[in-house]
Amino acid sequence: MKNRSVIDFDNVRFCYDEVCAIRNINFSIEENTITSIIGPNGGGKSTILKLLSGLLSPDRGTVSVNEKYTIGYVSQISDFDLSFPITVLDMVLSGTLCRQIKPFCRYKSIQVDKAHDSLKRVGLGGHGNRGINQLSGGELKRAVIARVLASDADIIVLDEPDSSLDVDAARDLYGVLSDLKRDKTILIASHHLNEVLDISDQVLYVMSDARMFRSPGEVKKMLGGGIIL
Amino acid sequence: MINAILNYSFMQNALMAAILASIVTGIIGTIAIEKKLISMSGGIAHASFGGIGFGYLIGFEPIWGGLFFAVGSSVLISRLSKNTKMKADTMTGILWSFGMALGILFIALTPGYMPDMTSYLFGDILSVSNNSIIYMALFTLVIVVVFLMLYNHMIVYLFDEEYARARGMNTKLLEWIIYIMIPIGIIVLIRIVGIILTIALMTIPVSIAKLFCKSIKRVIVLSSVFSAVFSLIGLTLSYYLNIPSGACIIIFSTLVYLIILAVKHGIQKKFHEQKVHAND
Repeated sequence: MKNRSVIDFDNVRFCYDEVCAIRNINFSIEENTITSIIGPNGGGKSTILKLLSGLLSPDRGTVSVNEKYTIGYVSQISDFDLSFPITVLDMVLSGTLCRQIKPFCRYKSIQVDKAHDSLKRVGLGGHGNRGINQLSGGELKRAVIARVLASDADIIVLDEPDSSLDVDAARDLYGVLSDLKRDKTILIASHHLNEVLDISDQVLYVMSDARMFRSPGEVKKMLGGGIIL
Repeated sequence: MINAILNYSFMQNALMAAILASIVTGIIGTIAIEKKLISMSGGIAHASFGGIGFGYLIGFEPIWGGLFFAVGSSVLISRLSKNTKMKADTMTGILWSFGMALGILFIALTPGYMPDMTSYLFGDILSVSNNSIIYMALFTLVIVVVFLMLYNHMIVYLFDEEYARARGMNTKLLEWIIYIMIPIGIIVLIRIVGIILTIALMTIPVSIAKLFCKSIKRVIVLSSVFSAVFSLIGLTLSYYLNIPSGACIIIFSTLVYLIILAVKHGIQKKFHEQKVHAND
């Protein structure tokens, strides 16, 4: 039976000043699937993820996300200030913080337990008291995913989660993401095609416009022609 | 020194001012460093000079004029950098000089003897009046209460603004609060170290605390402690040697920072070498 659609892009266009990153994009994403978004640099992968997460608004067209679903956004690792004094547990705990800004919004023990559980789920149990600058690149990425898990987001959006990771760390990360597919809808923008295609159900090839491939095999066949992303 | 604190009200005021400024340093300094707003804070501090001069010209308490100009320039930098293509850094540079120029002009236009501006420019902890203590306490209270009320949301915003926005938090509200809290904090610090040296007091204690802490709560507490210690040592040196207090505080804290940095670097290097030898 076909899963229901949770994300719909309908004729979406977005331009940074006079340069259009994406034009006339149409696609739908079903729940509990992994979709990889691939394409060359500047093709519009990050723009799609930001539109989806509400960080950008489309110039034209509509981006609809089923209102019952919440989104957890994981930005590129280079966006983090590693000198920020925060422990891994505090960072993950921030995923459970109420969205509405209310005075004296404090963490309860149930939220702390959830943060610990999320860390265990990504294989970082026992790392909670470390500073974020004491983690390796792969561990930090997993910690950021733990923050999204703690937030109970139904849709996880990851922008190049494997950038600056070595092969083993990237494989570990994709193992974690693959396990999450049972109850999450996941979108991953990446350049590491072999790893990301192995765990994907479908692929969105973006280069200003977008082509949806229902099977990663089709993309591998197309890329066999020597396209460098 | 203890006798002086017990017997002279100006020394009691100086002690109270040092404590209040230290609390402000811990909170505002940490926010400014983590949000990379140190350069903007320098611009705000200097722009406040225009308001201080305006206070002298019109004949009201100069520090209220300073507060008005500081908050105004902070909001202006924030809005223009968001809504136009002008970079915050450029706007900061313009307001930095414009505020100083206005201050000089207003003071020159003030009838009668030209007032002594050195305490505003370089700070004078020994000349803090009872009135100044009242407004410093009021501003510090506002900063502490607002920060404690919004602590957890503020930390998420400071650490990862993009995540906070994607999660649906009202980051614009937090930004407005920060852009108003920083100038209020700067006005408190101006009485201690002056407009020109404020940035040093905002950054040095926090930078030292960051060398030892991996949690922001600890950074805030430890930087407040460092700031209090530096201010009190500066106050003591200033009292006994009859030298400018603001300069004493900043020179002493800078030296301490450099020494701690060198010692920590040396220890880390030695530790690394031992580890390499052990692996060999």
